[in-house]
Parts: sequence; C-alpha cells; structure tokens
Amino acid sequence: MNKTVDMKANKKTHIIQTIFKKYMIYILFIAIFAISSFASPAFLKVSNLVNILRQTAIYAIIAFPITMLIISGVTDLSPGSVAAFTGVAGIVAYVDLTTKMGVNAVLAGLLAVAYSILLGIIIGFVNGIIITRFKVPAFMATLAMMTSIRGAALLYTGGNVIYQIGDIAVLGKGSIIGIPIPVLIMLILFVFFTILLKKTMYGRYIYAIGGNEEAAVASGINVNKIRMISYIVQGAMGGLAGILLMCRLNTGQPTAGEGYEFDAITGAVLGGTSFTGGEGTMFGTLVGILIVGMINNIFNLLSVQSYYHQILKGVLIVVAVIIDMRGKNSKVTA
Amino acid sequence: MKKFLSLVLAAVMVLSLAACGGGKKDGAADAGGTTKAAETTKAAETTKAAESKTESKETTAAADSGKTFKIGFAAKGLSDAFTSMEASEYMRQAKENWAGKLEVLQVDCEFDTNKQIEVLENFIAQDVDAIICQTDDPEAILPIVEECKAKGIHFINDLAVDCDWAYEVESDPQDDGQLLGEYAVKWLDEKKIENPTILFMQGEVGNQHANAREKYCKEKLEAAGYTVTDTNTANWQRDEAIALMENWCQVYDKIDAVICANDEMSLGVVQVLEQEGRLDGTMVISVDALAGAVKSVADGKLTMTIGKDIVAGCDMSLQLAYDLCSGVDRSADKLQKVPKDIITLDDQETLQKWIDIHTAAGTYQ
Repeated sequence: MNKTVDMKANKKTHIIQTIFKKYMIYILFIAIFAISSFASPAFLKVSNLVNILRQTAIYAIIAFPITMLIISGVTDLSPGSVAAFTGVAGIVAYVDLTTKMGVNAVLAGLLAVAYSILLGIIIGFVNGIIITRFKVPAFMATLAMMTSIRGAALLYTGGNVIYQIGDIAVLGKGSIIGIPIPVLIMLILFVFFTILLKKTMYGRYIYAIGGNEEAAVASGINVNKIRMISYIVQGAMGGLAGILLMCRLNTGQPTAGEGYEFDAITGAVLGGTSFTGGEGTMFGTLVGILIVGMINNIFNLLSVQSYYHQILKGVLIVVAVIIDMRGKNSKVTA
Repeated sequence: MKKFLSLVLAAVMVLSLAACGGGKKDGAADAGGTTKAAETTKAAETTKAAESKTESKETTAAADSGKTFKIGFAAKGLSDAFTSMEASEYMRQAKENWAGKLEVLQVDCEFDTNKQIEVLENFIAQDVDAIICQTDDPEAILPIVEECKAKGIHFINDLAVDCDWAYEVESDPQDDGQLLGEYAVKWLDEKKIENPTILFMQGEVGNQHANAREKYCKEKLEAAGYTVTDTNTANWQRDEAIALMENWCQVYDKIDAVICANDEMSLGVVQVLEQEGRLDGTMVISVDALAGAVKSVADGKLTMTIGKDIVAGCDMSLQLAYDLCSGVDRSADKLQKVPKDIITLDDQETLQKWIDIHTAAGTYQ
C-alpha cells in the first residue's frame, strides 16, 4: 500500500518537474516582460520593442545553428570571430566592387553577402574537418578557431576600421514595412531552422546523435557527415551575421562581435537546449535570446551598471543548466 | 510548486537588487567625490575651459526654466580605469552641481560599438532631452546622431562626428599622440642618445584611440629623425604589458624609451624595468593620468603622463547640455577642446593639481 502511494507521489513530482522545465522559459519571459513594463515607462513603447528585436537579431542568427550543434552534443565558440572576419571581408569586397570596378550597388551588395557566407562556410568546413576527422574536442577546436580567425580579421584590415562602407549599410539599418531588415532575416531563418530541425531527416538525426551517439552510429547514422553539415551551416550563419553586423555598425570593425557566441549559447540554454544533447527547440532559443535582449534593454533603461548585468546573465545560465540536469536525473530515477 | 515560486521570486529579487545597486553606486561615487569638491572645482577653474564655463553660466541664468532635463550618458566602458573615473565625475557633478536641473542616466557601453548603438537607441526610446556620448567610433554612431537631429535630441560627443547637429567637447586622441611624440622628441634631444632604442606599446589594435595615439606620436618622432625600434600591442592591459616588456628586456640590451598608449600598460612597463634594474635613465611615458600613474610620476618612476582635465571636461559637457535644452544659443561652441596637462616631476604645480584631483576622488593612495 505504502509503495503504491510513494510511486504515485514520485510520478506526481516528476510530472510537475517536467511541466516546470517545459514552461519555465515562458514563465520567465512573461515575468521579465511584466517587471520591465512596470520598471520603466519607456519599455512598452513600440520603438523600444522594435529596438529589442533589432538588437537581438544578430545574436539569434548565430544562436539558431548553435542550438542544432548543442542538441547534437557539441558546441562552437568561434561565431563571434567568424562574424568579424567574414563581415570585414564582405565590406572590403563591396567597397572594392562599387568603387574600383564600378559594379551596381545592388549586385555588389548581393555578391558581398554571398562572399561573407562563402567564407563562413569555408571556416565551418575547417572546423568540421578538425572535429570529425582529427577527433579534436569541439570546445578546443572552435576555441582555437576563435583566436585564429580574430587574428585573421585584424590582419586582413591591418588592424584598421574600414570607413565609408556605402549603401550596403542599409542591410543593417534599413526597414521593410516598418520591420528592420535584420529582424526580417531573423524571422525567415527562424522558420527555416524550425522546419529543418522538426520536419527533416537531418533534424531527426541531430536529436538522435545528441540523445545517444553510440545508438545513432549503431542505427546507421553517419554522425561525422551530420556534424560536418552542422558546422558548415554554423559558418554560413556566422558569415551572414557578420555582414549584417558591419552594416549595423556602419563600418568594418575587425574587433566587433567579441563574446557574441556567449550570448547565443546563453539564449539557447535558457531556451531549454540541453547541454548534454538530445533536447531543444528553435522557439525556445528565440525566447531565450529575447530574454537576454530584454534584460540588456531594461538594464539600459534603468541605468543599471553592466557589472550587475553580467552577474545576472551568469546566474541565469547556471540556473538553466541546473534545472536541465535535475530534469535528466529525475528521469533516470523515475 | 514551492521550488517554482522560489525561482520566480529569485529572478525578481536579482532584478530588484540590480536596480537598487545601480543607484547605490552613484551614491558611492558621489560620496567619494564630495570630500574635496571645492578643491577640485578650484583646480578646474584655473583652466581656460572653466573660465568660458563661468561666462556660459551667466548667460544660462536668465534662461533657467526650472525644468529638469533628462540626459542620457553613454559611458564608453566602465571596466577601464580612466573611462570609469570620467564617468564617476559626470555622475558626481550631476548630483552636486545640477540637482533638480539635470537627471543623468548613465549606461555602460562595455567598449563595444554595437552595444553603444543599442544604448543610444534606448536613450532615444526613453525620450531623453540630450545625449552625452564617450564615443567608441564616431562613424558608427552617425545614423543615431541623424536620428537625434530628426527628433530634436541634442547630441554632445567627445570625438568629431560628421553631422552639423552634434556638439563636440573634444578629447581628440590625435592630440594625445602628438603630445606623446613632442615630449619624446624633447626628452631624446636633451639626452643626445645615439641610435636610441624606442619601443612603442600599442593599445587594442583596431581601436580608434589606440591607432590615433600611435600614428600621430610616430609622425612626430619621424619628423624629428627618430625611428621606433619595435612596436607591439598589450591590448591596454597591465598583465599583457608586463609579459611584453619582459620579452622586450630579453631582446634589447639597451632600452632608452618606452612609449605606451595608456597608463595601465606603462605601469606594467615601469614594474618590469624596476625589477630588471633598468628603470634609471629610461623614459616611460603614457596617457590617462590615472591615480597610479600620477603617484608613479611623483615617485620618480614614470617619466610623464598626459592628463585630460576631467573635471573641466565634464563640467563643459553638462553645462552645454543644460544650455542646449534650455534653448540658449551655443552655436558658437560647436567645438570645445578639453584642456590637457603634461604631468611630470619637474612641473610640481601640475603634478600637485592631479594629486589633489585623485585625492578628492579618493583614488590617490
């Protein structure tokens, strides 16, 4: 009799924990939104809400592919540096095409974006090779890439900032029907990555590899190939984020993008992506990134020092990981 | 359920704590600054800038509207000792000299141009009356200045922005570079050293201030016939400067001059040269006039540091902000230069002035 009661109690606790874990991110989002609305009258203004979206778009573009990597059990620390390198390279290409070769601004813009993405793809490919062929842990391989690519960005520009970037800046500053272009790109990519993760065989393999890599290998999934594709996609998005970032900055800055991977990973983990792999959604990541963006925004509006901000971000990420780990442990015991 | 409630409460508490803490910091800065506020003001009044300020205050008195204007202050980065010191001075003056007239909202831009753009966008969303910006990159913020112009928000900047709307209370890194170069040339000429070994320690490569300080200093040296033997970066940081200087000591048997882009690095250089017994007869110069650097000059270790008169600079910016918001015509003051001091052991008067400034701020030990 007692055993039955215990089992029922355990089951109830497990259900509550599962619901809590599943909806924690949304409760947190609503709570922060509500508190921010009361804390600053400027928060709810349309222009401020657009600001939050505009300010989070580039992080989200990096965070979507990072979510896939984390779900499959690996990570990438290089996107911030990749964005800096590919961004300045794209800007230099655009300036050369328009000023030295007389190419039409629209065509030059498209070519510059393609060039940045192509460079990102190459970097992603190199990351993938190092990790899948040479079996270097992803953390170390991408840490090394982060340093090297930052150096390459500084070398490429001679350490200088590129000014007079021309009309391509509209990509970072312009709007279409009132929606900032980076936000529009972010929304399109959100739909794309959601479909990729949920509705394709590739997406299912990502979950399978992260859930149990050995079982995935045993069932015939080519883990190296899937990981290689994931790093290439990450590189491509790093390239896109890079050119958008430079357009937003109105200059080509080789030092830009530092620490962006941290905010992207924070957003993904807050959004419920499990660091042990096998779990996570694009919607969760989007909400996680928006939470990071809202915190940045409200702390600015309240003139709170960045020291507190950094502490809070660290606390949030630790809390999210603890909840994730507890959820996993309770699954094992249940 | 209890756990869930505690988590929500914890999140709320962390936010509230942070909000309260932000206020406290300002208070702390004020407390530090109040001690000898009169002395610091006295020091500032000796500068030309302060003289022009007095005239300006007289013109403003008539235009005093009794309204409190909201000012957004975008601090370039509070993790750096100099910019943090300047930011604290802004908040101190705002509290002590402008209470009831100016409400200054300070936000840290963390030395990130993108973050600075975000901060400025948020100020616009808050409908501030004016923005004072310690600029990271003037070209990057140009669209924001244009937006401020469209919305009638006054914009005061410390670097030249290519927009007729912006006012400059300028601290040009070009001036720093030239002053470094001029002092180095004078010192080297006096010492008459043949083929001197001159080392240049850069700030963060790619940063506009670092680049300008290096470029204009080297131009002065080259014009006088001197060649910089070696150049490398320590990214503004003392720890990296120590490592770099230790390496340089291995490479060069004779080091005559080390020129650093900021005080944090020069203090690291002095530390290494002292340990190696090579400080005597070596010129070490830099920019910022941090408390530690002023002390080092007073102790006869650091040869020279360049001090931007923070007290006068902050006062000029806040006065300008108030005047512009009150509708006073300051179009003749589109460009004001913040006075700079050359601080050396030989010039006791200037050295004492900076010791007083840091003592008043509670940073001189």
